[in-house]
Amino acid sequence: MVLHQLFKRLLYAIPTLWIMVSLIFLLSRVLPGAFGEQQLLMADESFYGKGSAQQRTAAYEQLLNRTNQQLPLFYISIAPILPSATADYSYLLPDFEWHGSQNQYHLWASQLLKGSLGVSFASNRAVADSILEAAGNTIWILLASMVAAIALALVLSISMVQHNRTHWRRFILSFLIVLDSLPLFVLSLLLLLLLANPDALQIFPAFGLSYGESAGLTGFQKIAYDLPYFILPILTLVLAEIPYLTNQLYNALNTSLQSDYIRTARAKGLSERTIILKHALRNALLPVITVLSDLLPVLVAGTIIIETIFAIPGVGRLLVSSVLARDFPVIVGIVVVIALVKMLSHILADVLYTIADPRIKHKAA
Amino acid sequence: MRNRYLFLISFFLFFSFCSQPHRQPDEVRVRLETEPQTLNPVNYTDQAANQILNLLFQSLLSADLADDQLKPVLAKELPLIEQKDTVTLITYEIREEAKWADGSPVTATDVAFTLKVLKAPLLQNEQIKPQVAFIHDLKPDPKNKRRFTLICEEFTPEMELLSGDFFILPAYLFDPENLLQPIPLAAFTNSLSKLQNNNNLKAFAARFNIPEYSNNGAVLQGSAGYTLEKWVPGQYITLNQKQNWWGNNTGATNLTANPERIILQVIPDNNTALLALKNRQLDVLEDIPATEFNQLKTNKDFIEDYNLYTPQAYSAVYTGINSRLPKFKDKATRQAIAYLMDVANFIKVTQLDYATPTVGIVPPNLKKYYNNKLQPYTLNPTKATNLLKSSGWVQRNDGWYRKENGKEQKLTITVSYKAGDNVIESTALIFQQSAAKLNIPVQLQAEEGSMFTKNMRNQAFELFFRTLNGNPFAFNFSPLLHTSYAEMGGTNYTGFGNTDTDALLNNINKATTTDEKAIHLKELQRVMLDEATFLVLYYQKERLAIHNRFDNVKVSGLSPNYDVSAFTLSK
Amino acid sequence: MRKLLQDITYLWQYKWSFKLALTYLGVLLLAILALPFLPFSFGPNELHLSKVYLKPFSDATHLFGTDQLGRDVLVNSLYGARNGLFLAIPVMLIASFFGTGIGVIAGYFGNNTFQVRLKSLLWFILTLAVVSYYVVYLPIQLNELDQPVKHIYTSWAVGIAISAILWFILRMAAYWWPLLQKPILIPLDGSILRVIELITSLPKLLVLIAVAAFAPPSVVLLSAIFVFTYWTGTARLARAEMLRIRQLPYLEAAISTGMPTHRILFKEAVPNLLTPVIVAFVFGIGGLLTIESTLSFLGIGLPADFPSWGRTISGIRSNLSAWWLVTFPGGFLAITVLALQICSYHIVRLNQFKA
Repeated sequence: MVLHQLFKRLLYAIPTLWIMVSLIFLLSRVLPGAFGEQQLLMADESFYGKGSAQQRTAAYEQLLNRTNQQLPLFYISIAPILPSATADYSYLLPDFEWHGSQNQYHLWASQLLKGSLGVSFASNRAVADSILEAAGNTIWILLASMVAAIALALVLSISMVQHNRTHWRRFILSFLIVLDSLPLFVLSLLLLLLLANPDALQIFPAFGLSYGESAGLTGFQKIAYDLPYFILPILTLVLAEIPYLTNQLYNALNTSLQSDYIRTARAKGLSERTIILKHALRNALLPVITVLSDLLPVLVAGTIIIETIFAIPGVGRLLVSSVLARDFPVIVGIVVVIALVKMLSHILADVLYTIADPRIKHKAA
Repeated sequence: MRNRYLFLISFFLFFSFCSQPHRQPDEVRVRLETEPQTLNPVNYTDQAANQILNLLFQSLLSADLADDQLKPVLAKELPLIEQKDTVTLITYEIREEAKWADGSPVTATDVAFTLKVLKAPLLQNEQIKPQVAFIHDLKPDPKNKRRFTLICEEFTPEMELLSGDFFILPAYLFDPENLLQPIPLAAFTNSLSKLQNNNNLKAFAARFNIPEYSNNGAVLQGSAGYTLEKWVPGQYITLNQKQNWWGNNTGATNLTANPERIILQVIPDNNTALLALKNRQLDVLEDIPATEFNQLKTNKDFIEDYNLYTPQAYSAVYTGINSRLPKFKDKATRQAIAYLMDVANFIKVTQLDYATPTVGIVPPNLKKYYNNKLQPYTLNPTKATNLLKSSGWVQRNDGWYRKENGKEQKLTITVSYKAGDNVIESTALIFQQSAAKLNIPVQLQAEEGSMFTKNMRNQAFELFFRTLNGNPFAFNFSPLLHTSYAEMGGTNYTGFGNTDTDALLNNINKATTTDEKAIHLKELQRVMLDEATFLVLYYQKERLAIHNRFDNVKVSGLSPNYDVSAFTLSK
Repeated sequence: MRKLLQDITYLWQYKWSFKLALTYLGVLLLAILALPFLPFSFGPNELHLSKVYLKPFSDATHLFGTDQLGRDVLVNSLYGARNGLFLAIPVMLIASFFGTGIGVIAGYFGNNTFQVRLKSLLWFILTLAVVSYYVVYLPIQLNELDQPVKHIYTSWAVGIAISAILWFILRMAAYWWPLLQKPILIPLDGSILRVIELITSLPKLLVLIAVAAFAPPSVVLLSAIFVFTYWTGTARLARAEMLRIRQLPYLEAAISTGMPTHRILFKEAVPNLLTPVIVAFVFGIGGLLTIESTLSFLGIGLPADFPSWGRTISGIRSNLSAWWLVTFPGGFLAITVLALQICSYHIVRLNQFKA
């Protein structure tokens, strides 16, 4: 039943995904400027020119041609209005132009149908390779932090709903709220200054994934060598994630603890622990599924702040640098992959909803 | 109880990581702020790639950072330049010792091959291509296969530099099937459209336009002293010294490959880089924020291990006023604005005095060309007020007004600058405050990089602050200041100039002796100061730290500010 | 609304922490409203170039110290509070309003209940195309070409006229062609979910840069982008809650008795949604306050002469030892968020207690 539903939803998702991906492609080209424009046409101010303006324009046109950026964007376009068109109000009539299959969207989409995200303008590498590599660098950090954060949030919220621990609850809640109010970049800078600073505590290396010394090592040795580099970013992410997670879990637990069947369970004389773990938790997990389905895409998308401060080359940084360079295949590739993961995680969340709460006869399917 | 043990164990695990990674003494670790986009020697785009490629490949000439002079590298000596009618002939001879990685000699054939790769259509070479467009042909010396003459179009002063400023590629490695050999170099200047269908060129393009030519150490092997060991994207790039490299036997002090291993570590954030430096995880760090630099100076622990340097750089901060706008058309208004530039405080607050004020575009440390008879503008609201009044502006309660084409216009200034640059932003804020004292409203407009340059090109700005990269050996200010570059889309954004200044700029380029050049350059500085359209405010000093186990670091104001290949271990 | 007021009075009387938090928020609100009239000796953008990086309590006029340009940290913290809340509260209110509305509609109607006639659907689609051309695209083009304003008005008028004519034509056509009267099932829930997915899958940075290309950084623009991206969170939460509430026996009973839809929604469903929405609202305010400073860190979004906590905090980037640049605005930020959280916490608890 569940499998059937999952399959059905996936099938339904394909056309919407395609529309979404197409929109993303078209929207990305709204960004002003083109790849190479800045370097070729607007070189840094200097004491002498490197090549005449004419030569630079020629080179820029060659680049546009090579990367197909000179082609029209879509099959059809509206010709831009001319200033003269206002004289006779002819601008009120849209002037459609048909371009045939020689357009950027067609070329990109046919490539995508063949399973390729294209080639980066800047590094000339396949976009899929770049994304995989970048995601591979951060996915373990994010996964570890997420697992740790969820576990911690569960422990915290269970410990908070127990009746006899009012002071503990107050303390934890205020602590979490204060934590939550710190912007991520301040938090990471603070941790960095506290734990990787010769003037304070120098426990961890300050940056990067490793210095390349572990290249010759294998297996466990390599992990042991690289582990210290992971701890600070993981710690930062855990601290950043627990306030929201704990709050959601705690509220959900609280609500379900006041529902009728829990009262029945209490009346039956079950211990508080059994009630929370066996009955309340299951219901409390409902809103958590929504939260989790939000977190899942972050695994791929990465977090720009963490990646910048700890010098970890993840997808976030790749996106920023390609947006700044107008490396369109990479921009679109990343957004498409993120959209895909998001859609999948939403579907997963919906299916999990039905499993977790059989009362919902799911109509969205 | 159980929890407590767990906690203790994890605590000890935590601290077992304390040990610092073991460091080799003659390995240098350098920070890269941004990773190179590509290491393709004919299509690189950034400073980082240039620095790395200089360790893998060599050009004919290059600046020696020890004394900021242009010196021969692959060339035996500086080229012989002859001007004949409409062409310039530049003759080079390559060093006899020069060898590729496989031991074969570097010859004129390699230079011709390189020029073909740079000029060919279909290839990924757009970035460097415009730089060598002025070279039309190469004539090899029939008697000496290391000697050749470049045939170039009419003379400009930067030709000497540019004719030697591209990386020479090994023909044996990049084109083993000699695909480009049958096509003469002159064909790449004239008949480009014919070439696009040339099968040999197509085959070469298929071979060359692959990622290996921009990131693989097995392919990127030049005549310089290092090989690319590994590039882990986003993390680090390692280079290894070549065994028995030919450059060690020449006796030239600018041909060096001293450190055994060079690691270039990508760290985007400044604070993180600074911490890494304090942790002794980096050997070299440039661009240290001024406040931090002052703190490092007083940090005894740090000074024990590192030397700090502040070389006078060739990069300047300047302001440009759009002289095409009616409100900035007259000189007096522009001069009034110049008197509102609080340069002393710009330098004090944003650079903590690590900068030198300048009267013009020539760096003050080039004493020969710098016009020391002039005085730069300083903050002077009284003079500014008088100048505004003299040019017809009338002061009212809410600002300054003047009739422009029959319409009354208020004096307002919009300051544009590239977003994300702290120094420029602070500069703009200080200017805003000085202008506010005269009741001139200043609006700040931070623009995203590509937006900013686009607005410059379209002349859609009022006043901007930006940086200018200079050098001590080639001056050709025409692209910035000549009126032939002032049309829409040209590089003379401010609209500076008239026939007199155009003649002056041409004279600078034509000058044959340094004395003659100095006279014209000094006159240019005077005119520019008087016009106040293109105002260079100050030349910066670099701030860098290098570990003191290294000698011969060749710190310089020229980028990359040090020559990592020259580093030797001090005794 | 009256219920909420009752709750607040009750909590005010019996919970000291609520009282404290509310007092703080009230004082803060008064302070930031009265801020332009308070007798500070200098404004938030006033530079004191001879007094940069002044340590706190070392100078009588700059109690909390100064930043890299000699701007007073105390004044900037206060103006930062003003600007931060002036940005966050309206944004979050609008975003929550739209989010809740859209989420409730999606959750209530699902995919199988919402129907419109074919003629209305056709009209909607055609009008959308007409409006986006004549009311949005054409005026932008005309504006870029510096054409007289009358052309823009003409374009608007034409757009509206065409939509009106279309409506009449479709109405008339429906008499002759009964097919147009046929009701069409709209999968509301599915469509709304897809739109949410589209919006959340666009990286905010991309949106910010794309918009920054057309207009310089400004507060209104930033708020608009925030509203555009923030309503989705509330909407998904509200939809999930609505799905749950819809299955509850009392709502099913209300539906079966033939109660009008709007009454069911406003009287029965929405009050039950309020708790999670308030939680999301408060977290959203905190989140907005912090994201604004994060944007300053990345150097995009807000103009340089807009005093904000983020601007002051980011001063630490050029001087790591200037702890007061983080402590005071950061502390302010934390306390404000804390007060907001306490209030929402008590309201949530009270509602749970009653339920």
